[in-house]
Amino acid sequence: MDAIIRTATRVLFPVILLFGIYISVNGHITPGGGFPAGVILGTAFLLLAIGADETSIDARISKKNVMYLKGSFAIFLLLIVIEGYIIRNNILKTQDFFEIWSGGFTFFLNIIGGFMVLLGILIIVYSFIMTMYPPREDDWK
Amino acid sequence: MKINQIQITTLIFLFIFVIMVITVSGKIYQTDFDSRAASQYYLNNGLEETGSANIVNSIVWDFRGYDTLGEESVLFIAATGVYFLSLALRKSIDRRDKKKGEKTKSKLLTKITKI
Amino acid sequence: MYNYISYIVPMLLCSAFIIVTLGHKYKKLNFNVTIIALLSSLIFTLLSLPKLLNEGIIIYQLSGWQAPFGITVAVDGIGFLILSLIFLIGLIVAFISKHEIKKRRYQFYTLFMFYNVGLVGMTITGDIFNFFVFLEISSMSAYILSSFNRDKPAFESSIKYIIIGSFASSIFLIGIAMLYGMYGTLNMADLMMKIVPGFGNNIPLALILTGLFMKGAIVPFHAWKPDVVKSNPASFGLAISATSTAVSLYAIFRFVYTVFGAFYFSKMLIYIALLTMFVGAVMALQQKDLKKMIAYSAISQSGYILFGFGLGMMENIGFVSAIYHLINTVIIDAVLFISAYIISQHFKTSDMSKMGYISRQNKLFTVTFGVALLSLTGIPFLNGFASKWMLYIVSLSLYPFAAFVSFIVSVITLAYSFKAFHLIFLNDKRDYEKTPLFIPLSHKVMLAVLLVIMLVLGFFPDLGLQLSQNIIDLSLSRDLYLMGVLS
Repeated sequence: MDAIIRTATRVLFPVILLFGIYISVNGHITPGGGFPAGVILGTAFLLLAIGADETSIDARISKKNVMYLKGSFAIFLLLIVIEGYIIRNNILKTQDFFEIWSGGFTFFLNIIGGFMVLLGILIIVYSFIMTMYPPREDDWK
Repeated sequence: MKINQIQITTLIFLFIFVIMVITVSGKIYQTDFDSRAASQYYLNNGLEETGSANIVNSIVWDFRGYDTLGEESVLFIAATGVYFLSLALRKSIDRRDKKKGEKTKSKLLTKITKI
Repeated sequence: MYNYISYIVPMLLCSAFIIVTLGHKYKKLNFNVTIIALLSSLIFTLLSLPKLLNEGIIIYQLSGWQAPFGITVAVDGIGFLILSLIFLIGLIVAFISKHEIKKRRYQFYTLFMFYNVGLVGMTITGDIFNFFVFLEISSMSAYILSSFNRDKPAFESSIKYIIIGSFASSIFLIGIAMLYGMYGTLNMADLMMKIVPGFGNNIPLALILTGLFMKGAIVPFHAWKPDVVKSNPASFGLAISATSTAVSLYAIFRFVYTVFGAFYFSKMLIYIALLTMFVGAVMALQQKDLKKMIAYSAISQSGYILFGFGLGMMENIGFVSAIYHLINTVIIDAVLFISAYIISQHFKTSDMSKMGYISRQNKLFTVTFGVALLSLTGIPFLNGFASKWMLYIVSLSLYPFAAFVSFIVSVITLAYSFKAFHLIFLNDKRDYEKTPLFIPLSHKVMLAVLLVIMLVLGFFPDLGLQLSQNIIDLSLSRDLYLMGVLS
């Protein structure tokens, strides 16, 4: 990979991440919310997967990352379940509009939603990268 | 089975024709009812009832949050489906490597990385 | 805590969570968690039966928002029946797949849990866009499950199912979008109040019904179903064939009768039903493969149920026979698929021309299979007789040509049933190694229970008819639905 692309990836990755978190957290005030924020966060990680060192891809598929991937399935589904319970009950409301704490549960649900879309994109990108490697012993058969 | 160009173009034209019919019929079939009943309610009362200034967000996560739950489940099913099928792909590539004795490249990844 | 039905969907999601995280390492968890989840869902549905009998309909507004602006859960009599059928067939599928699927079980069970989430969501909802979302959930998990064997026929059937299924979903979505654009609301009861039968409602109705026909494998959109049933394990074949058909037919009933009130549509439904019956039976006659034959026979029986719905649009009693025939079809399909698993396990193949000689090995199994096949055709003293006889009598008074065609289709059904029975059980012109037929204990118990149910319903047809009548009484009143949701 070019030196320009490598450096640009290293610089841009935290910026895009921060931007995605901003859109997700301020979802109930400004346009945005859970789903666009998840797409932006996914773009950040996709940039990391494509633009980084070719030699460091091997280092990235270590045992810790495989465990993180399996954990991400769990967290994903757990968040879906939590969202199911929250949505089924009445929300809590506060009084000031256009403030951070005004939306009630929509505040937390935006963050959860963004995280869920990010995990979905990560799982798909990881599946495509890992087709280059044979199945590992501790992986799901 | 090879598909002709004629078949593809007729399918595309049929599709465009159907969409045109539906769009035109949307202007012909006017009803007596206020076709903005639900959206007017959300616009008028959304701010007070949910407390979030972004009405799209309040509709997506508050009024119709059950549908968003369904959409997230669809995303999860898609991701897990891709993962399970990639496991099968890896196993078949592994079997092909063991038979041939050398490391072959998967056709999928060569096609992707060529772009 | 008094409203149990809305807890079913999160509980099934919880069980999917447990299976996907721990299922690979702790192998016994897969099956046990599935059984616990399905049993508790069944108990939840049965616990809400007193409320259904008291009020006539179960209503729950999600998140507390009022009716046209939030999502409602509305379960009436026929929804209750379909819910219990989903969980009973789910239990049978779990028991079959315990023996049949030996590798990658956690994959099958998590996707099967999501499939059930989709079906349950479709049955209990009172909102058309919510219906579409859960239709997508069940379809997507079925797309991935239909390539479970990971060999070439499985992938081919999965591709066919994906293309036809996505097309069906888009057509359905366009119909729903048109309805929203015309009336401004997404709630089924609100739409019922605003829709006046007339010319303006034909295009949305046509689009919605096309989407539902494609998903429910009604001729001429049935092409994906026999391949999907053939190339996949018999447990998934049972799930697709019994529960998916039941929910699609419930959806057709809900949209045509409750939402649209399209009583002028009855003749068209009857024509499509006759076509489905005929094509299903004729194609089943030509099959050499056991599972494909059962799939075509299921298509033909769903034609009968649609025929009952079409007649029910003219007179209410057609619905009773349709619901009774749905119950019978589900029971018979369960027996047929369990037997198909046992038979293909024994012969290591699904090809009927290579089978034979089972009748000497296990007489009770022969009797069960024979009873199931005969009851498909409508022989007296078996459970299929009452529902089919009622369909003939109702259609003789309303539309005699249809009665004639359905009677001919029954004769063709008898033909292929006899052919299958002879080829599998009575044929002893070949010599085999006489290994004994192995039936696991759970399958023996299930087959015995189903046989007893078939014989009891056959000898006392009033039981089944009374049950269907009670269920229909709770679901035919459109005013009750309207008042219940919008009050």
